[in-house]
Amino acid sequence: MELKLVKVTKSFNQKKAVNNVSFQLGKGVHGLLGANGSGKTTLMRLIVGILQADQGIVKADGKNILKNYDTYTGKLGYMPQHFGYYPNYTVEDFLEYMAVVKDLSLKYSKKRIDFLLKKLNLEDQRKKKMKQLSGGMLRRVGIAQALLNEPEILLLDEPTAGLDPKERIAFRHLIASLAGQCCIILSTHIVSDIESIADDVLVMKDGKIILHDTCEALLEHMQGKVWEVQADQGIYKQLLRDFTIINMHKSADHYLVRIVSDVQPSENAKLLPPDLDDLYMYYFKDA
Amino acid sequence: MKRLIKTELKKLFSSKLNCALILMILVLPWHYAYDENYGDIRLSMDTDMASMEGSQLEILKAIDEQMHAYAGIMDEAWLQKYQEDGRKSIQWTADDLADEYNKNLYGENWKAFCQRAAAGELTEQEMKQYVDSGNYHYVQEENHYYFKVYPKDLSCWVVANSVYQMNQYALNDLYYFAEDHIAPVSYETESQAMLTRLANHQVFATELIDDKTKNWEIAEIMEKAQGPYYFDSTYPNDRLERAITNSFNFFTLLMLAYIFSAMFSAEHQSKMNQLILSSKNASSIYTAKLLTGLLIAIALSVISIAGIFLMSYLFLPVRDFGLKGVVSWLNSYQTHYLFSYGTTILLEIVTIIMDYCFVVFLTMGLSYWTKNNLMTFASMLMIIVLPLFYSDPYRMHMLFRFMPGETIAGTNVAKNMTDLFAAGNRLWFIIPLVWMIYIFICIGISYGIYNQVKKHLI
Repeated sequence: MELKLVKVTKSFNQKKAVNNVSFQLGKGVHGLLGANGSGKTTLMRLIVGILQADQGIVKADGKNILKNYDTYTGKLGYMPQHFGYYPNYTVEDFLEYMAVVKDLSLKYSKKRIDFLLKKLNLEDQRKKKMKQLSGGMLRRVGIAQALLNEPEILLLDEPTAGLDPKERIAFRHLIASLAGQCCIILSTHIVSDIESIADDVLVMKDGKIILHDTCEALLEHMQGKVWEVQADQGIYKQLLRDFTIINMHKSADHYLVRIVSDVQPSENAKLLPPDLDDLYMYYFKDA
Repeated sequence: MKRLIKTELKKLFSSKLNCALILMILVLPWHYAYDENYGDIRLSMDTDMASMEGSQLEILKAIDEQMHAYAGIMDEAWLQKYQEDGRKSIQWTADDLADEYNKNLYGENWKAFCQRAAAGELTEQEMKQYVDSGNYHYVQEENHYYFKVYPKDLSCWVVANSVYQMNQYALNDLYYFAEDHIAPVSYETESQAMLTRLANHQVFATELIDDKTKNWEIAEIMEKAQGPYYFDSTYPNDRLERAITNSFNFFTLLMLAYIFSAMFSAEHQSKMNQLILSSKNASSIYTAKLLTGLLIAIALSVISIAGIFLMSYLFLPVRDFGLKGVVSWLNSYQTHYLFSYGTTILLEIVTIIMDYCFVVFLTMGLSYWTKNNLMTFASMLMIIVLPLFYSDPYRMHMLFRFMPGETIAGTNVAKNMTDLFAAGNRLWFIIPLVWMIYIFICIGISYGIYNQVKKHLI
């Protein structure tokens, strides 16, 4: 399924949360990167259709989603940033309920729930009440419900919040395995979530998509902007004041500082190959 | 849709508090109905020194049997027989009186004391002594004092009183006129002239029975029936009608409001609405919620009412719903119609079901639009309870009287309507009109919610 946004704008109290956004996405993993408050969640809700754009259209396979909503939602999987659930339901009850809401047949949903619980390593939690689950388990249940209907468009809003490193790795594997089957939009402000799995990245800032390209192309764009400087304490303090520091390593008598800057920060600064963290800090240094 | 409704029911019943409240909604009307109408209520007759008791239900059954003996077309022959039996039934003598109770009141020689008092032979000193002891239950004609006395068999007296005076609720006291003439005095007919006749032994029973039959309900029934009127005991009908009317009150409505206050707001508060609205069945699930509300409202009201019918069947079965009667709640409203008990009970049942549905839909509507269950319940509390305490008769009171807290007592809607329009003969239009208004509001709420949900917007 192909997703297309044409000049989509949405304002709240005269502030444009999403400003004239246009893009087109096909199958694969698409990272939506942006700081908190950049408009990612609003954009996701516009794509889901639970918010109506003030201007512009969201199209799926060339059709306005709002005019064809029942068909569209049948192919949609959505995990919101603040994932809601019924605390007294067991994991199984909850997934069964979501299967009913998604209009899946009883026979199919039973099979699918079994499959997803196994795949997301939730089999042992099947009879546990939702309120007894840890944050990471809840996110996994959230992902399971989004995948119930084998979606062609999968929207995951901050899916890794609350996951431990092991769970993050498992999550990335899962997403990577789905990439060939559907269009996945993964909204996050955590660069590592998308670095290794995203086919392309949309960088969102102040309601606008400021960059949209493959990771490689974006990093190409950052060439010549990432520096490493060896500095004593005095110079380090000056660098801290004047530049965006990505990280710093302190040894016995000096500091090794990674800086993102359009200009060479000092004479002894050496150019380094950029990564997505550098790109994020370059664009969101004020966020 | 069946599956969706099932999931909604499951959601409602997943809360233990909801289950408890639903059980209470069912049981409370049964409790009231049993406790006040069919249970083993002791009918007591308080005296100054002691009390006499009997089982109300047993007495009612006896009254019903005796009344049923007169089943037939109510014509002059019927009336004559009824009056003759009535006269006989209240011819009591001193032997029918309870020795122990009367001794407590009037001393060891109570018969002689009462006899002398009736004959006007008591000295002033004796009367003063009696009054000083704190007892003053007597009627006086010049120097004749007729003292209140108590029968041996209370049940027998209650039955006679109820059957032949058509009044099961106000028991007339017995007075000692002579050893072979112990008779009741009706306070409605008490006057010096009547007392003279009462003391005269012969005319009393005829006077009283004639008074009761010609001027009161039987006369009214005969006049309104406009044709042959079939008489039978209406005690079981009356009891069932009262049980249905009095067993439902605002408590059950409040419990319903509590249960449904979270119907929609819970989805918002738990943030489930994002998932539901972005799903294929979004509109259907909201429709299912409305249907679940309707289903529960109807089921609870019907089961509660069915329980009361079962009680009636077990304890005091109704023989004929087609019997007509001047229903208690219409007595003072001069209705031109003589409703059958079947019609009256049906009006009440439909009104109660409407009330349940109205409260549930109003609660669900508020739950959807306020997105807050506490605010919803608080609003419903105001809507249901406030009208019961508001007494300004000229302004909001008129509106308040048609609010669910008032109309849940089945026939209140009819009472309120007749009060407002002072015309019982418009009841046929007015009661369904209130139902129509309730239905219209329910449909409006459903349409409003459905229309919003259809847009799938949070």
